[in-house]
Amino acid sequence: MFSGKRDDTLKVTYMYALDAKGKRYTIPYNYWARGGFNQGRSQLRKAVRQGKKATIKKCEFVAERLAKKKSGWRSRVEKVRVAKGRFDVEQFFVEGNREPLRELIKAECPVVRDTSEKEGAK
Amino acid sequence: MSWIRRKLDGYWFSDFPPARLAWLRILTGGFQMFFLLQGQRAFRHVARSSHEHWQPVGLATMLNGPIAPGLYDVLFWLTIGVGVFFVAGGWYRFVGPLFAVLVIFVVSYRLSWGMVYRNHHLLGLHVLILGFVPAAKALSIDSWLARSRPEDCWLRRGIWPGAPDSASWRYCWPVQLMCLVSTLAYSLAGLAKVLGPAGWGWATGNNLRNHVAHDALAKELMTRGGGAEWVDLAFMNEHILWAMAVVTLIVELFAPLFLLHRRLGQLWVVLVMGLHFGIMVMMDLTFAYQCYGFAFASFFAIEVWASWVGKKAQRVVGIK
Repeated sequence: MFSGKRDDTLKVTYMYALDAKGKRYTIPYNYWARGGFNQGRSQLRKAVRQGKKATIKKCEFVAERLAKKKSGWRSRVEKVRVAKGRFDVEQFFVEGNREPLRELIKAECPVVRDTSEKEGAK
Repeated sequence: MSWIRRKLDGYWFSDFPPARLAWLRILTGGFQMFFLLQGQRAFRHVARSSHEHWQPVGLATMLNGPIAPGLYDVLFWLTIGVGVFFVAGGWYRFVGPLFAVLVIFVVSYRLSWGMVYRNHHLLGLHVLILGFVPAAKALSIDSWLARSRPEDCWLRRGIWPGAPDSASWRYCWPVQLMCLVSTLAYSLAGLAKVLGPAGWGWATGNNLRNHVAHDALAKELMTRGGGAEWVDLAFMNEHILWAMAVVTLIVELFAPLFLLHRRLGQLWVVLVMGLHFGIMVMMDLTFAYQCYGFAFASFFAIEVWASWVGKKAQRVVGIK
């Protein structure tokens, strides 16, 4: 455990959602993986390593799940992104700067909701 | 040379009472059951993962691919059912090996979906050892059957054959093997650190700090609750991390040497449990089997403790 080398800049692969105003929401790992946190982390990293097709598939899977939600932030989001960010640990934890040094968007997909239900209600 | 031989002989083949192995069976088997039951949703949930994540490990490598989730559920609950008899020590000759194999399969299968959780290993190895030794000679259904049923009774067929009633070397080596396996597991972890890309530089604490940071960062980006609250401590007090890294390397690399004396072994247990508590506080990562001490019960004369607790309890409830 903890045997791998870790530098002062760390790369993390993650997903987040955006609403119409561009506000960012963290998507928890259990949206794309069954099992624990490390399982989710590893599966997302693997999908990105496998290439565009696998990454988009993961992105769409999460977008579909979010599209079914009817309350809270999940019902407001319009886009899902898979990103790989590079962070400076000192900046992140000591200075409190939560922004990545660099962020690569690996996939982006829209959250398509079924509007027929809303129209039906009207 | 004869000193080494005497030492080895004393380590592996002293006379241990059957109750020590029996308590280890109850504690380890009991913890394995708790571990499976507490995580039963996760175990069964993971078995329903998409087949693209299938990366078999352990006994699961014998399969051609994932099995039907329903079949896994059956095997999971069968393991729980057999586990009850394992803990109770009933028909142990059959139940012991069966439970050990089922546990290794069920856990291997759960770890075959792209992420190997290392906290399952030591518990699995301990169950594997206990499953193939006469650990049900005391405090068990089998010992009750041996006392109360005639020799030709069919119910006695499941009793482990040839195990003596009194203290014997047969109850010593399995306990010592559990201790050795525990120390070797940590020793391998230590070797992986210094032979890995970080090398001996791991002892500076910088790599450990970045591991803690990486975990906290990932949790912040992938969970709603965020990372461990104490991670800032790692950045404010780098000398704490340096000390932790040095102690970790000593405790891990030289782990088997702590077995040279019983007291040294017990000191090692205290140090290792301290490390696990440190990990729990800083990373919000609990290795329950280790943190709660079950993993290290083999280092202590637990049957003496149990009898002391039993006598105290009797006094409290007023039984003479």
